[in-house]
Amino acid sequence: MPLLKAENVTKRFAGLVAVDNVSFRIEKGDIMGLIGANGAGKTTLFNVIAGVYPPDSGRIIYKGENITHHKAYEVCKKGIARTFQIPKPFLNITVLENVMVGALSREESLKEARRAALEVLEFVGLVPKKDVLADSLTLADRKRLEIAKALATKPDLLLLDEVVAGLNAVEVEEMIDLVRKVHRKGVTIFMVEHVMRSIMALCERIMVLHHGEKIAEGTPEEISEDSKVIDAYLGEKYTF
Amino acid sequence: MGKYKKTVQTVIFIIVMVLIPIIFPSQTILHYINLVFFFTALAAAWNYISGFGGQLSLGHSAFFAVGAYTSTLLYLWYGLTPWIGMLIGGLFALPVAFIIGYPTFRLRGTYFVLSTLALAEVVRRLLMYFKDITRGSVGIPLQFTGDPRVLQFPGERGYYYVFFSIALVTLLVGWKLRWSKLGYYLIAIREEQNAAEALGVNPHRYKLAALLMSAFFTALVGSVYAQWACYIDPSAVGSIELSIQIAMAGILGGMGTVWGPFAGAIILVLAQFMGLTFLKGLIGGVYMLYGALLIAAILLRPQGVIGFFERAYEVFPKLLKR
Repeated sequence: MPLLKAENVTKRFAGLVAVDNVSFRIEKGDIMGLIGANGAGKTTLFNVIAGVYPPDSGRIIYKGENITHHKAYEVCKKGIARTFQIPKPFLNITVLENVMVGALSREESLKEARRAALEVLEFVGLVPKKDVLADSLTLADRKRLEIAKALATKPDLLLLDEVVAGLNAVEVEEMIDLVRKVHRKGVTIFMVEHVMRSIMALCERIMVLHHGEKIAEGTPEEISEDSKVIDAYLGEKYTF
Repeated sequence: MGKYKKTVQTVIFIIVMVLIPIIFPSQTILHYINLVFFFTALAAAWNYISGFGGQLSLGHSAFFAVGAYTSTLLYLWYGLTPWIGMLIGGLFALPVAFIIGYPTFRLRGTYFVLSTLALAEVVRRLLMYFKDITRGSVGIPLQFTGDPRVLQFPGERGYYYVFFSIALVTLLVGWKLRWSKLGYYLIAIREEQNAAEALGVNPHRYKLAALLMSAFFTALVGSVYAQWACYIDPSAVGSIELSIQIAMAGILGGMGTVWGPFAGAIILVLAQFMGLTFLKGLIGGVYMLYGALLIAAILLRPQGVIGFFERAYEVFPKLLKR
């Protein structure tokens, strides 16, 4: 049984078809990549899976259960966490408290939530910043905080929406290491990314969206040689 | 800070608060102090939903009026003491809160604040319309007995203890709330609702919980007020002005802060006092003063004045040590 299965998912916005009849499956332990040009429907697909809005047609099956019409907070409780392309920290509380909000989805007491949150901060390397307001974090740290908050909900599947976008070369390497570390912990990962360096380095399989349609799926090598993908997105052949 | 020191501080605090009405026997001074506690309690209750949860209410007089009328009518009809009547009033405020919270918290943006404005006006109109029950705009005068068993006292001193207690309770509930799961969830919803939802927070449920708490305590204060003023009518307890005053005390003090409502209430009552003293001849002078204060607060210190108080609390002991 696949961990996540999407069947013929379609999402329209006022006539524009943002996601067009997309099907795919993610097995437990995968790192699956999702690429495509701006406006290809990547974030929309994430939002549909995460329960931000339901699809117009099609089904999302998670661990054999139909979660197509679940709300975002229900999807989270099922074990799917997501990060946002533009980090959305709770600005006026501390980094630790931000992560505690995530941990509270699994822990009733604040004490337990604080302990769990500290563990996650240790894991992502944000312990030195735990008592500063999220407002004062750099972009790289905000992206780390996004991952920390999501991990605090103890997900089995993590949706990462452009976690390296906007980072410098050193920060990109650090983030790739962090994603690997999360994956080694046993979390299945589905990631949207523009930075080819990170997606090619991390993903075992990649899926390509173009104008809402899935045009290819395969290993990084297959994708980089696929003529449709080169035409629609890569522009030229990606060399390793 | 040691546990011992904290206990001593608490004991001293309680002794001082108990002694105040004995040290200041002046009815006028006590009346103003009572007004401060009155608005502290109202702003503290308002703060649960509007401060921590970020859902601005401009209609809290609706809950206040429900509390005032419920306990008063129960007292008049059945002789039920307002000490119990206030709890029933608080319970009656819950469905009223539910009616606006349930539909509007599913939506985002300004729907909640608009419906609170409407709710307050609807409650006021209903109180005027059902004359047979509420005596309409004539209002209900209560016979003054001065009997503590029916929540009445011969002078301001008795009310002082009641208002002080209710202000303290509402503030402590706010403090408990701030450091609870519900409190964290409310702040998360206020700061970034989408992110909160992604972390498993059901915004509808938690906003509703905070609104119900808020309505309950607001209604309690309404019941006490009725026995203090010994007269209620729809425009006294259900007015937009009262709703605005409650929100003002909350905003001026610092929305979403634990002790801000107390600071806000002091400023509000001072402004009221100044307005009545110095702008006596000017009709609507007090409201102009409120407006000026609100504009000043939003421009100069949108996070509220409580920060100054807290700084003083931290700095003052250090100055003494020198």
